[in-house]
Amino acid sequence: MRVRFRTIGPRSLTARVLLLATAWSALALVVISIVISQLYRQSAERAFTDLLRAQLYNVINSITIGSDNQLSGSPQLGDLRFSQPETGWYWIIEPLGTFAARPLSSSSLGTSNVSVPSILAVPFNNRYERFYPANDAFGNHVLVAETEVVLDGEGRAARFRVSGNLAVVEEDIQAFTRSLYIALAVFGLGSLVVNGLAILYGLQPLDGARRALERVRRGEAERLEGEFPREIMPLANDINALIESNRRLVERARMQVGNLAHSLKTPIAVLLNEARLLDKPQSELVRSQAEAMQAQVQSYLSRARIAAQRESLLARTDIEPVLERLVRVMRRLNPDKEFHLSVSPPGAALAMEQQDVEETIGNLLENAARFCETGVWITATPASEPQQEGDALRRTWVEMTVEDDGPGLEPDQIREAMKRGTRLDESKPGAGLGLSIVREITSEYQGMFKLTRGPRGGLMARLLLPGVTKSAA
Amino acid sequence: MRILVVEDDVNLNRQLSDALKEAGYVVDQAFDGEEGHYLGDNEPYDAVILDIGLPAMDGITVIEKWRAGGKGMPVLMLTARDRWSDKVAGIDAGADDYVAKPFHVEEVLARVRALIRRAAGHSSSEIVCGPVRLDTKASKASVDGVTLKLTSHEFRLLSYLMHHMGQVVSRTELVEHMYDQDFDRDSNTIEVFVGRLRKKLGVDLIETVRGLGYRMQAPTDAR
Repeated sequence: MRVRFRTIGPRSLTARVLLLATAWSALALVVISIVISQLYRQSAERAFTDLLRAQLYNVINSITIGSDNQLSGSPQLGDLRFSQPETGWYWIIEPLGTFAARPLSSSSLGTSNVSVPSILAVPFNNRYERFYPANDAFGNHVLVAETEVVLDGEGRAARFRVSGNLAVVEEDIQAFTRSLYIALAVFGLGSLVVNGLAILYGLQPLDGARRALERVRRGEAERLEGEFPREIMPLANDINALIESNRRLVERARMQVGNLAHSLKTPIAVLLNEARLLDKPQSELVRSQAEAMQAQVQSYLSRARIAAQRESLLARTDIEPVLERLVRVMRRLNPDKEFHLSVSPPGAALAMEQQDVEETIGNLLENAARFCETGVWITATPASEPQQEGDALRRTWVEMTVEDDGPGLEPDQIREAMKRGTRLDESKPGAGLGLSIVREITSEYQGMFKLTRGPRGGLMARLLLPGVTKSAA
Repeated sequence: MRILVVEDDVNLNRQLSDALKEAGYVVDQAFDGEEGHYLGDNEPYDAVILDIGLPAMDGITVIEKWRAGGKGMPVLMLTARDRWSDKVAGIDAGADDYVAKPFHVEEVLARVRALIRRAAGHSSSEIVCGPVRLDTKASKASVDGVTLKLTSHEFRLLSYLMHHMGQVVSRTELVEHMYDQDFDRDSNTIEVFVGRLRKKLGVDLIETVRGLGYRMQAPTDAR
């Protein structure tokens, strides 16, 4: 069963964390920029208002009613903009009510004036001041601070107004906002880079776990090894438990295959031999059917065995001890035949299950012993030639040969021999499945199996099998 | 020649025993490891056919116990588990050959013949003693090319003596190897069979070694 996770968004963890961190950073930066620029605007506007109010009271303090019943005085505001024309910075004093005097204004205003809104539109505040925006005759957008002051005991009063150019405030705010955006952008980019680095650093153990798993898959390690952070350790433990349970499953499957073999083969043997006692046509029928059953059982057993082997994760078999065991058996079974074994370099290993090596070489040895005149020669050497396609990822290869000095086979006999269950020589014992098992196992390991005529005139089986790399060894 | 068949499947055991009897052997049967081990330990067999997957005591243990006890008779192992590791385990335990199930009885017979011959030091399926030829494959004997008409007892006697050519074989040994365990044995009958066999052979190849038994050897070897 395959467990599926439904995922939303990108499949890469790095991309996910980066996306989320970036989205959050961007949102935070936008909000921060809005809030800061709003606060700055408020503060700049308040400062501007305070400046205008200060200028207004400066003007009030410097004006009196002279003996000629005219407004007199010249306010010194210390700001050149009040004396340069059309700056938007003005002061204006206008007599109110019955007080008939000439109004006064800064030289920057010239002969023009700034319009006054009605009291209803802009009422005075509790300090009897009012502030309002206006446009002067030169197109400047200005803020006006206004108050009305009684100038003497006779109750003569005047309206005092001071205006400042709002462009100053706007420019100030814009300059600030520009700097703010640059600073925030630098900060945002910086945090993106730091986030990225943090993610890479944080996810590094996952990459380590992946590499450890890769080593297991390639048969270079039995379990995930290494120190993992607290968050990944449970995952590594679970994977190790999975590998272990997989190994046990394979073991159990093999045991069941063995049991199945035992339970089916004895009844088939009984059927085969009982058929001898029947009359000819029935005897032939039962015998041929029992043989067909036997071939099926063998074929499915070998498939089950190969399937079990495919699931196994780790494979490493030292060549020499296995061959020595097989040769020892062959010598015992064939005391009149010679078996010559040569393995180079000593200590060479195959990236195969021991059982598969035994089945492959054992079947070839059995055939060779059956047909040889005097002896069998077995060699294992590192393969020198480049191998088949898709070899880039593979390790080294080992060439193994099993040669006899028997009659050998013609090319068309070799083709026939490679078919499942074929027995070329019915007079010699055997079920005929040996070679097809050899072929299936070698192809399962992406190896190669060929039959040729050997230098001694007999049959030579050449095998190319995966070796174990030095790093894995 | 006396053979022990240890196989838990009743039908297969019967088939093997019948075929062996048909081929002129004397056969004892056992259906589990313990019984098989006991018989092998106490009776002299010329060969044993032993299944590996047995109840009570598995075949590998049976062979190991026999070998540890000094029993050297040839053992043909029957195995359904035809993996090489199983074969290696069997041979390492002391078996002399194996046959994977399912098998044809003829194959088992051929292996048993070969094992018995090998144990007696003969490499060919035909054993020759002067003018007498014993064809172990066809269970036939001939003198100067003329086939002998022998009863099963006579054939067994000749076969045993020829397999042990040059050796002195006691009457008791002959009895033990010519009859199964249930037979009411009488060593005097051996003398009768030897007499008949001498007559049928026409040549005096069976020498009586006084007080010890009989020895068969080719005339050139005779003293």
